[in-house]
Amino acid sequence: MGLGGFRATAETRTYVVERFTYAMYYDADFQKVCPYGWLPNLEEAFLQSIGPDERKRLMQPENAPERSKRFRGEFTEGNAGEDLCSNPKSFESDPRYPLMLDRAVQSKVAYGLDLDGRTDGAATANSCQHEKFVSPNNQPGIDNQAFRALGCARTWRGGSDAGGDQVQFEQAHMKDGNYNYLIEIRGITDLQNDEVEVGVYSTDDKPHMGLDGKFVPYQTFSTKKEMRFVNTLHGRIVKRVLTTDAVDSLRVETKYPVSGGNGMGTAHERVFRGARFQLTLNGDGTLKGVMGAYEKPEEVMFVGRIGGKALATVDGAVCPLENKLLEALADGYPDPKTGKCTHISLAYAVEATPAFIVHAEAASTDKISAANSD
Amino acid sequence: MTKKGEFNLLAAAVMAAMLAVPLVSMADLQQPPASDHIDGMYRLTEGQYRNTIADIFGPDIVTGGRFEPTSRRPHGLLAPGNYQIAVSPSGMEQFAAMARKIAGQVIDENHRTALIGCKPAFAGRADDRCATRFFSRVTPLLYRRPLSKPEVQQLVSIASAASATTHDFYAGLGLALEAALVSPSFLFQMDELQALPGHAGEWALDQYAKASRLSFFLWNTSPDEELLEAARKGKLQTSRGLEKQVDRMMGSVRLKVGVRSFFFDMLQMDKLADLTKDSIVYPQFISEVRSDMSEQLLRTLTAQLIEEKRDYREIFTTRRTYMTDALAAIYHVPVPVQVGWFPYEFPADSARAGILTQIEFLAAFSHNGRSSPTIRGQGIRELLLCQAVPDPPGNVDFTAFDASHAKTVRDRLTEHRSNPACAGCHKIMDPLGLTLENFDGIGVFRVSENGSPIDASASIDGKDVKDAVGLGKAISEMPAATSCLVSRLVEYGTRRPSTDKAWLANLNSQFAGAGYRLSAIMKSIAMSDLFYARYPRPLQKETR
Repeated sequence: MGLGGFRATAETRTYVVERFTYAMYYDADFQKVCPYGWLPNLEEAFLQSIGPDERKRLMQPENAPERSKRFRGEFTEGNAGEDLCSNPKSFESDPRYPLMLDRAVQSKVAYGLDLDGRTDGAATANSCQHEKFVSPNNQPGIDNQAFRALGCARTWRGGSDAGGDQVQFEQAHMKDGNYNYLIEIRGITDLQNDEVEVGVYSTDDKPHMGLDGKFVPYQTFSTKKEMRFVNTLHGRIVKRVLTTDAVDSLRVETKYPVSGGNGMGTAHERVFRGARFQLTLNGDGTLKGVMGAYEKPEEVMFVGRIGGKALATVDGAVCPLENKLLEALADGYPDPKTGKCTHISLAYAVEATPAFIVHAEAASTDKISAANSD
Repeated sequence: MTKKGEFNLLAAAVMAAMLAVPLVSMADLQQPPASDHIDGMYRLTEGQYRNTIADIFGPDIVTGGRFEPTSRRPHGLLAPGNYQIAVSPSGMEQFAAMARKIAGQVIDENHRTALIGCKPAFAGRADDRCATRFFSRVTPLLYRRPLSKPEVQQLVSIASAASATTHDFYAGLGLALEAALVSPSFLFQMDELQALPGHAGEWALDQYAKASRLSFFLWNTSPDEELLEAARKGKLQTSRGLEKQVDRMMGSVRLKVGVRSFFFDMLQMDKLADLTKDSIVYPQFISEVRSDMSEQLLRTLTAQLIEEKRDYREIFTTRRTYMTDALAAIYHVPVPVQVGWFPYEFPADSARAGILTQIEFLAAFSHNGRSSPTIRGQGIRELLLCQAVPDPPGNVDFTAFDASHAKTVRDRLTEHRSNPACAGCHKIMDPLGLTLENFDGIGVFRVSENGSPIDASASIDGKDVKDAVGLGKAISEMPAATSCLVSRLVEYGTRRPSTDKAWLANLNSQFAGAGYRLSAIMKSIAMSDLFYARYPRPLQKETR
């Protein structure tokens, strides 16, 4: 067991990640971002799925109870009783949930990184042809198709860069200490120009929250002992900005220890493909930036899957509509046989605070199970 | 919910217990009669009450309740303050509520077999034999003296009457126990006097008061059965007998409880309950830190002074302490794993050494939004060196201080000391506190303040000190540090500051001779005749 320290003459800087959420670029001009309106919520999607006469009848005030009962009831279940958020893929051919490409983001700016090395959006060996974004600071070639797919959904867009309920759900669980990530930057000799190695780990240790709602800095966290959660990336620091190369698979563990739902109460392994970081090493010891990566559409929908029907009936999320957009806009890792892309590009906002890291001894018997590998 | 009959019964029981003393006939006493003189009455402190209940009935008995604050510090400690306080009606209500809660647990099905020690012939009726057995064993531990037969009989009668009313032996016993728990004989420690043999007109504590003084001094709890038995046999009146008990008690794990209680009082740690910090300035001052910092200090002291029997002066220089993950974040040090307390030693080049660099002291003696060399200096002078610092004059103009544009506290204080009315006292306090300026208002290390580098050097009583580590060393070398401890121990144990300079000088000499070991000076005090001497103005008991 070794101790990684944050020292005045640090060669290694260590952090606990206190924000790791979908980076939802918030442009207050909704018309510019979503000129065709919101991706329908549950009630709107239900009303669109029925005929005009029936819609008119149900919109009468006296029929509000029936309307509510139907869109919260029959509309949230498939033919075999499937839950529309736990099993969004089973609604793929359901005509009530069409692909609504016009409700994808139409604006040009998004957070993220250039993941495929092209600024024109042309297909590469690892990506399908797609439209690119520019970053808020005018970096071209930004890949963030997940934002394009979900940026007009109320539960994702929210009212600020913090995102909507589905985005903040993840953050809330990190603050509760249900899962957290650690970053270690090794071999720093020059913050202006340097080659470094970056470790990304998962931890089971819970953080203490400060009175300002942020993690108390300089806490100690131990890494999980499973070697598959030890991710190593190569990076370069230029003028305090760390940019890493992509790593084929970056594995982290999430936990939502809430009773009920699908996947709640159990640890869940997330695999980000082609993951890269761009992080600024701030003078106050914090770290801030983005992670760009690809993920399977159903993994992007993971919070929806564990939230189940409640996410639809309480928050109004129509998971099959979201899932269809994610699959349609997938831009990474084409299937060799069909050529259809299996992963979608995304960006995570990363904010980290100084912390000590204790490296757990790796369990020699640890292996990646077939079920968990891609 | 209390039934009307139960309430009346309890009220009668409480009244009977409160009036128990005049009902006792001297002829019925099992023991030699108590003296006609009483030197003082002291309300049990919260710690003494809780420790006593835990020792007699077990640590799982929950006392609950709120204790009236002991806010008087007549000389520097709270201990003598208990001599000057009364029990208010609401305070008495709290004692009654606690008595009910404790008695209820003693008689419940989980505890009755172990704690009552006998079974009634019929659970639905009174059983005087079992009740007598119970009160004969338990009440002397509560009252810290043997009971006369009528006293025991009175409690048995209460239990009997209550059992008959409730048709429940245990309920009746519980009500009588409640009465005992609100008796002044339990709630107040009474320093009863007896004539000193061979010294006509001279008085000293009687054997049971002596046992109590010794027990509260060393353990902060009531005497155990062995100590009471030694008192009953008169063994505490001989040096040999007294030393045997002192040695036994000093070898007990309870000594640590007593030492923690003493330092809690000496370092005014009760004030931490009211400590507030600006959550915007110090968001990391979370509840875990607040609770752990006190425990860290007490653990450091007991480990140094009791477990390792180190020189008292080392508490100002030691780099060894105990840590939790919450504290470690404030100290900016890593912890092996997040598993409660663990020993920790600051490295040799650390800016921290000694208890003055622990966050308990640094946070407690600061303003709520910034550090204060003045408050820290005053704290060191008054608490650890027993040196009085005069109160500031009433007409001090703080506006100039607050309006100062100086970037560091040192610079602001330098401006402040330009006022001759302020300079006198600040020269006493500020230099000590300035050496701690590398620690902010909650004890986080810093090298600058508002962008300006911090100068932590100072001249302390003619000695140049570079920083906090130097301060600890300087304090450890001051004779006042050790003599202060001795006088505080005497004051804590006797609940009065001693004016006997010869005795204090002798104790200081013994302390030095023993290498400034805390256990040695505590034993010296406990073995001193003067520790058990009466107060100069004994009061005549009015009730007898």
